[in-house]
Amino acid sequence: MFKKIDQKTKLVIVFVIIALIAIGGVGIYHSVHPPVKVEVKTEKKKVSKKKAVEKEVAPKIEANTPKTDTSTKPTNTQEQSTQLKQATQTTPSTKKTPVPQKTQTSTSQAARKPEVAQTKQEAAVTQSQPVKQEPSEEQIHVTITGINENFYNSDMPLKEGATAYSILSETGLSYKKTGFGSATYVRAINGLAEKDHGPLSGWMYKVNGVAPNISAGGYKLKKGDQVVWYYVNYN
Amino acid sequence: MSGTTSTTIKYRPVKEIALIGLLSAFNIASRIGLQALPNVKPVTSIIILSVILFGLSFAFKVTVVTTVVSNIFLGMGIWTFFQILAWFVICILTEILVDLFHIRENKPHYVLMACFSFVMGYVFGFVVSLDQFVIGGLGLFIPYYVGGLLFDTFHAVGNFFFYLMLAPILYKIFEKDLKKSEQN
Repeated sequence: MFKKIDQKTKLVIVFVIIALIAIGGVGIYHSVHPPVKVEVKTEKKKVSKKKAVEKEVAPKIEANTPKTDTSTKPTNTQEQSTQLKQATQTTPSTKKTPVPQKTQTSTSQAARKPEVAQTKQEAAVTQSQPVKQEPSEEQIHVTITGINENFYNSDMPLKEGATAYSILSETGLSYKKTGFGSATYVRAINGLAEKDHGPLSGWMYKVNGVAPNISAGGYKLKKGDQVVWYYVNYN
Repeated sequence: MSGTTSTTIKYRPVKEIALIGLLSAFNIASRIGLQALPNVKPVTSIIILSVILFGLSFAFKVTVVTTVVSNIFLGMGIWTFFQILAWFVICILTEILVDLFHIRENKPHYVLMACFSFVMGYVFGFVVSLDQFVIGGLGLFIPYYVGGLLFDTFHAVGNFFFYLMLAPILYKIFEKDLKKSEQN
């Protein structure tokens, strides 16, 4: 075997053997003295415990928002997520006038005197259409929750092709990201960055109470979606 | 061990370089063009066939050119080294098989060799996964490798069908040169 092999090929074979021996050696050394192993395992555990973390986050959001529903009982995560949804739905009603009513009044005003037509996009849309549609259908609700405070909590118009990531630029908050497209990762919002509060802290997002397992840059929003960005795993 | 006559095709250097360029270009184009299909690429089949037809050193050259140039487009990283290493290992395993069973002289049925390239899909996945063995030891390597087994299967199945597709074509193209080199 390997009788008619030239010098270069021999060198390559020797290189392969040496590389495999080196890989084996380093690998066995790292198996005996695990450098990353422990961290990775704890990270996996934490990831699997994310539901538990959400449990902690949900009441905190509730504590921030004005209490409107007190009859709910926190028994499981699903109920809590609906509770969270309710909380995010009810919050704008206390902070400012309810948006659907506002736009409706604005459109009725526009119908009466067009020169007072609002600059709001919904008003313009409904003005052009004879049949008045529900304005909240074209809107999404965005909540950005830091540590014990809401950075942003408001409705916004849904733009064409908006993703859970692209709405961040419309909130007026500063943010940092890495990657692009469906590989976007949000590192910081409003100065609150990942790993600021513990090695596993960072930003996650939910749409309608469910945390999608794809990047925010790849999640296309539909009308009426409730987007929540929240900071997790802080100490 | 091997037969008295070497039945690999030997070219003059200029022609060899041209052929390396052509086969590598085919590999690179397929790696970039078939990005959407995970791991279903004809590269491994081409490399196995070039070991059988042109010998070990030719296949090494094709491997290095293919990996380095296609990773300029797909992304350089530590995996480049491990991809080259994995294809080197496949080349050497193929050469061992060829020498043991006199494949160049006997020319076994295409399906048998396609089964061999099917197995090579898993070998490739194993060697590429070894970078996690270097980084994190056995505790990182085993979950990583097990997690990638499905994609190794894609690779293996792709190898199987690409070998069946490419082997008749390449044998036919180089039939004349093969006979010429057998006479010499």
